[in-house]
Amino acid sequence: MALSVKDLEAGYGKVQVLFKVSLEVQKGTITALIGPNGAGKTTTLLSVMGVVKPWGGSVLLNGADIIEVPPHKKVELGVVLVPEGRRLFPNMTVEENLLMGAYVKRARRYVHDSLDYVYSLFPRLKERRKQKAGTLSGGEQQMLAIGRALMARPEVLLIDEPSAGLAPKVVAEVFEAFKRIKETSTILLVEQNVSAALAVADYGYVLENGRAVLSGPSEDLLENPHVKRAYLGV
Amino acid sequence: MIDLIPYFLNGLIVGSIYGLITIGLSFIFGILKVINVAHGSFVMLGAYIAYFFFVLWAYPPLVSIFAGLAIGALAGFALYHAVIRPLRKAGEMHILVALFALGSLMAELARIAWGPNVVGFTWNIGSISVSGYVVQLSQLLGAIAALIIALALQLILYRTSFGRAVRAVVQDPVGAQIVGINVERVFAISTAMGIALTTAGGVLLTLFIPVGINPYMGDPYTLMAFVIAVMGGLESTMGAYVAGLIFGEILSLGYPLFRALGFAAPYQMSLFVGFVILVLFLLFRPSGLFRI
Amino acid sequence: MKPHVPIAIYLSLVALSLAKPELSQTVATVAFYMALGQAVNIFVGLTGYVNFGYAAFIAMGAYGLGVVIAYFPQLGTWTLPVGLLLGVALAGGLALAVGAVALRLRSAYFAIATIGINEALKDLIVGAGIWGGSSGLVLGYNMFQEYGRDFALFLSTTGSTVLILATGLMAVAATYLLQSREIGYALAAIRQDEDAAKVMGINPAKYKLIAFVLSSAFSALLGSAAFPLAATQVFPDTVFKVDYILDGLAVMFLGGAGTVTGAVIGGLLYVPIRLLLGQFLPAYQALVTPLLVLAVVLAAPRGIIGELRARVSPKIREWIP
Ligand SMILES: Nc1ncnc2c1ncn2[C@@H]1O[C@H](COP(=O)(O)OP(=O)(O)O)[C@@H](O)[C@H]1O
Ligand SMILES: [Mg+2]
Repeated sequence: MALSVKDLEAGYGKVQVLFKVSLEVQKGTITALIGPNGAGKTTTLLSVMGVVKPWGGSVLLNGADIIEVPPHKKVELGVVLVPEGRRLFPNMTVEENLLMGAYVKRARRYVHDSLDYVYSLFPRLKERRKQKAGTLSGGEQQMLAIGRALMARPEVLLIDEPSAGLAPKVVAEVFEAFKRIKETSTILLVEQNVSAALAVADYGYVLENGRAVLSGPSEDLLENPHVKRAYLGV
Repeated sequence: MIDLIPYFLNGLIVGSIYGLITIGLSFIFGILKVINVAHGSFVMLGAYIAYFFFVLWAYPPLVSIFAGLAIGALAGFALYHAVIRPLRKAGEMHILVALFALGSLMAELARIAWGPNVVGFTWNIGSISVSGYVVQLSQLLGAIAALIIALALQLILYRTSFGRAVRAVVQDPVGAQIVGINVERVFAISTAMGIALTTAGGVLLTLFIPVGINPYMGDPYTLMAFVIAVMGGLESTMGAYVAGLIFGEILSLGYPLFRALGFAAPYQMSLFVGFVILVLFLLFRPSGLFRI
Repeated sequence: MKPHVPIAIYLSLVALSLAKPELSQTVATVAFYMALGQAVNIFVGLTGYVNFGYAAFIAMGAYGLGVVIAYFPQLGTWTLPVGLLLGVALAGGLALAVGAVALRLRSAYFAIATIGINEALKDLIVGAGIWGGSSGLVLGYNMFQEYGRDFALFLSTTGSTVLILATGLMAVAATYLLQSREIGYALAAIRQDEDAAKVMGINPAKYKLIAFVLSSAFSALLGSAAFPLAATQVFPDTVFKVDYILDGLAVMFLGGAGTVTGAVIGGLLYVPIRLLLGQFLPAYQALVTPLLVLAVVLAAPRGIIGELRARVSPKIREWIP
């Protein structure tokens, strides 16, 4: 198991948001985490990353508990987040943003290979490499955020709502890239666009009110009556 | 008619020191969003470092500046870990108040340790003449040293991996964290660097105040650094340096003008003009001189 | 909320100073720091913004009364009310002018502006030789002329003490009213999250300005009482002393920022603490205030009343607002 989350609990101030959430992410797969707005999907990713401090539970990377490891060291271990809101460096160019992605030691010596890889994945970024990140379109910013994360040579890539605010055509382009990324990195994908997410994912979890209420292979979830009613509008 | 050229030259030279003194304030604010209201007390610390190195071991400020940088860096680390970090969650008011108290505490400690009297020294290595106008060599070298330090900081910011990390933290702290930057460490080192620059500025300042070193000398420099920092855009270090040169001119040219106008205390009037400039900037151009 | 405790403390101090005139000086000192802490609390405690320029507002009060006594002797005993009003008007006007500009800015910029006010006004008065310039105003002779010897002496002792106590009582009432009305909720919302407050339709600049002007007016009254009235002189170096803000912050934080009772309790403790340490460690007395502020802010940022309120039952909490 590349990443496994066990009985994760977390919250903000006194308000608990996650209640014993457990997830398993198999190496070399895409695992989707779906659920309604406010369910705690972002909080799950932030707690795995350590940006939000978990209250309890464990996060195992290849079997070793890393829950106490601070976020910047998680990147060094190969757990990398593409956050909600993208969090790019707006006054740096596209290429500078990508180079920042390779800030950690594990990534530095592969910088040139990684850059070629990201540019081949998203040729549009190459065209705009000298442009300030703050001036990119929404889709290009999302590609840059994913590209920046890839520069760190992630073993596990956590992606938070990549489709948010993007046109369907751009969403398709981004999701197409996930199929290639999957060859080198394991992906945990948070999405509200359930049909797109389950189409690309191997396995899925449904999170509601901070609890993982359903899970199974994507095909099964697509057939599940609850999923159909609540998320696919059928 | 007054000949203003010597005042202009002097303004440029002393302005370089004001610029250096202000860079530390802007640097820390730009990264941590903390206004160091204890700023002047670190200038005072630098001035005493220069004084003791000169009278005890005869090291001139151009040598003791390295001690200033080192001691300032240590003080900055201590400041970050003892005051700023523990209070970041409590909020801005608590940090401001704690820093203010710390500034006052440092002045009182200096009074107890080094006495309440004004002290000073003169490092005389002659003067040079620029087309008939005499410039003290020691002051000129001090101004050049300040410029070199300011440029070195730019080099660090734009040419090193630490500099890139600093700029990333400024643009998006969460983004910086998730590319693997240890944001806490950047904050701590930046505070150390900012204070180091400030004490270094205090060391060089002694070249201009032969009899002005005392425990309470910091207060006017806190205000002066605020005015200059706001003129320079508050977060921009090079902006701070250039604004320092301009402020040096205001003080230096203001003196003969106010004296000619018959004011009882022309230096105080120049300082007052500095404050008026601050208010005007806050009113009409809070982003400073250099940003659009 | 019941403001009985702070009011009772003030009334006992009034009774004490009337019953034992020889204690009037001590009572005045304690009350001065209590009231200063309250004035600081009305703005800093209630808005979360920091004003480092309190001395400037104290100075406006001092100069307001001082100037009328010095330059308008023809007003006779009317110099007192006119001077007090002028002091309050100068301080209030200054607060309005500075606040209208700076309170719209981020709190860091505001703090910068207020540090400037103090130095700048002092530089202006000394530099341009206004109101006696660096040699200040010496008022004893004029006060004898205007009020007569006995009344002048009465004013500078009991009179100034009563003015300080009255200012403190008014500040209690103001803090209590500010906290229990709509404006109190608005200020609480602003302290928590200014942007969220704006979304709720609150105009932060307006409420901060009200608190700022009130707080400055109280500082001015204290300045009138302490300098022209009690000391019969106004010197720029004493009225513009930065120390006052540190004293006020110490009193407020020790008692509990943002509370009605805090500064009153803080003042009652602060003066004895300083006196005691001054007795035993006179060389280190000047360290007391900054150390106290640092220690309280770092170790118990809610202060005595704040910590108490967090621990007692709601019924008792009613009594320590
Ligand atoms: N920074 C925060 N502070 C307080 N509450 C938060 C914060 N972020 C999210 N929450 C709350 O936590 C819950 C889960 O939010 P989130 O993890 O963002 O959900 P999702 O990503 O599934 O939409 C929501 O009720 C939200 O209001
Ligand atoms: Mg989310």
